[in-house]
Amino acid sequence: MKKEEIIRVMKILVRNKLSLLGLIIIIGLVITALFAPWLAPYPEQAKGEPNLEEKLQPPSSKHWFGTDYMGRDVLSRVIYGARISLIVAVAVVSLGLLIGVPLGLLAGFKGGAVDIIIMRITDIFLSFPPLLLALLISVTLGRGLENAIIALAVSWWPWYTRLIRGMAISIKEKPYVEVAKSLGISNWKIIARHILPNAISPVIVQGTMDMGSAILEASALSFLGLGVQPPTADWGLMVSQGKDYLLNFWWYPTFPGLAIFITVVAFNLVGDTLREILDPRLRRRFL
Amino acid sequence: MSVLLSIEDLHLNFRTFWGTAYVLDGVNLKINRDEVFGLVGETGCGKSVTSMSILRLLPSNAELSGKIIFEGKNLLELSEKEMREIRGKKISMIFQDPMSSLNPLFKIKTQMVDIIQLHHHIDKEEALKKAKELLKAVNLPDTHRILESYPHQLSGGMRQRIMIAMALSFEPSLLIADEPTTALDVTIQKQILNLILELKEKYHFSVLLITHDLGVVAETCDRVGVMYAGNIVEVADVHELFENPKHPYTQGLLAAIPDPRYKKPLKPLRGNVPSLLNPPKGCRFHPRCDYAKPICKEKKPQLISYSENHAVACHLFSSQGGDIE
Repeated sequence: MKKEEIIRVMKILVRNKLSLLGLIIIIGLVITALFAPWLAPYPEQAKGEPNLEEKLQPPSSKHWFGTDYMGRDVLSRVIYGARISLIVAVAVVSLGLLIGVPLGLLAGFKGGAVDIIIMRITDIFLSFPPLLLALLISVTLGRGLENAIIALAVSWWPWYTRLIRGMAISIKEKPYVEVAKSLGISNWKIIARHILPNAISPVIVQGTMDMGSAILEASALSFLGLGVQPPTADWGLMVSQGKDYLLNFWWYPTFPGLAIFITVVAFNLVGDTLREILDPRLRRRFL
Repeated sequence: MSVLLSIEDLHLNFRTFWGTAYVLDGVNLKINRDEVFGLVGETGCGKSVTSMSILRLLPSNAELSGKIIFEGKNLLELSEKEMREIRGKKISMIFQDPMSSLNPLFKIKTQMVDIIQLHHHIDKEEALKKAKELLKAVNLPDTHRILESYPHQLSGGMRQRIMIAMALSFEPSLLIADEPTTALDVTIQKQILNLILELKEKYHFSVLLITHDLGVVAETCDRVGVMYAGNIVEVADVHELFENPKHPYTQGLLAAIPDPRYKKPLKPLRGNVPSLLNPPKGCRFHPRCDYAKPICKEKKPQLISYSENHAVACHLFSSQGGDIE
């Protein structure tokens, strides 16, 4: 996409109220993540330092979101958790795209045996429930954030491969691709110039929406004890630890849970509008 | 006149799920330098695949055999890389649907410069200058605005002119025009055809014009080949063909043109185009032919010259010349 194109898309995103809301939340999240040490009231507690005198305090002016079972400020930990969540979202989706998009382009454009082999491999991956596969890989690789990201990306790329393969197949039949071939343009250049740019829109949309799901699934892995390890602040981990306290100390799992919820919704709102912008049939409404 | 392109005994089969489709069944064809050769026939008779065979742009399930001699080289023996040097540079093609023949995501400028830089090794500035020259050559005077436009901002006629400009970037010696005016309205059709003829005089290339519109053929072509179900059934100078059609199929085609001067009913050809998966034996036209003889069901007729500038593939004619009884 060109610069002016991006500006145009941004303008439309801002004009649509819901997507504007989503965009504001995401930007807020990025700022929170970047400036966490300055925004968090108790940065040391966010990093894991216990404060046992103030165990499980309800929300107050001192601790807006209350404290956890080690007396740590939940707000500070939620703020620090934004870092992990964003890293996970970006890393999982970009790794997934990095593997999935080239394979999908290759399968769709080449067709024949290449297509069959690539698509059967993706079928194998897709035949597992995604979280189960991620769980499996995560268990094999061992605990930790990096391994959780790798596990998620590995269970993620086949979706992009499928999506872009379908697009590539329909686009390679377009007259302008035929024209390009008749003018002697090489296959690689055709893929880069014609297939990829015309096929990428739905993948951008899917990727945006998947950022939310990636956070959700990474949280699930953390919840199950496979992702981020304590004492690192992570939303999923906090919900996991807080679930035992839900009945008496509701604030402990609720605020990190809300953070996950709001982030996922924000990415979906933006993704939805992106889809409408990038779908040529719906595009006219905005122009 | 020297021969520019000669197709000899070209066979093309497609392996499909339902079996092998025998799409081209020994096509023979010669195109001279500086001439407009028209290839006519109904949908599915193999006109377009013939042109795609010349450029070797067929899907992977195609089996091609025979010879396509272009400027002394057999195109079917060239490597993919050598073929890319021919495409666009020596043989260019313009297509039926100008509306979707340009990439919708890029400005005309980007697309033209891309193509020009592909074979000419020049920098962007010079390529842009060349693009402007080309646009002027195809009678698009407002070059700056057009170069800055996206395809959807231009009309079909303008887009087809741009396609022609792009096809002519390297002054090819053969321009294949695959139904270049089918998607355009009649006035624009006329303009585009005139433009092609005009440019042909200027740049001295040959044109292979593929069409199913006999009116277009009569107006633009020097020689015509009539195709039926994967065979060339008749080749003649354009006047000869219209005044003295020999093959029953050609006669049928001409009889099926409505003539506004007489209010007589149209005389359609009876029957349907045969399935290419299981084509009729012998002459592929015999099931629809009013003059079919027993030999037509057995033996495929060869293209024989009927007179100096007229060849026909039909058992009703011997090389000495004869007529339908």
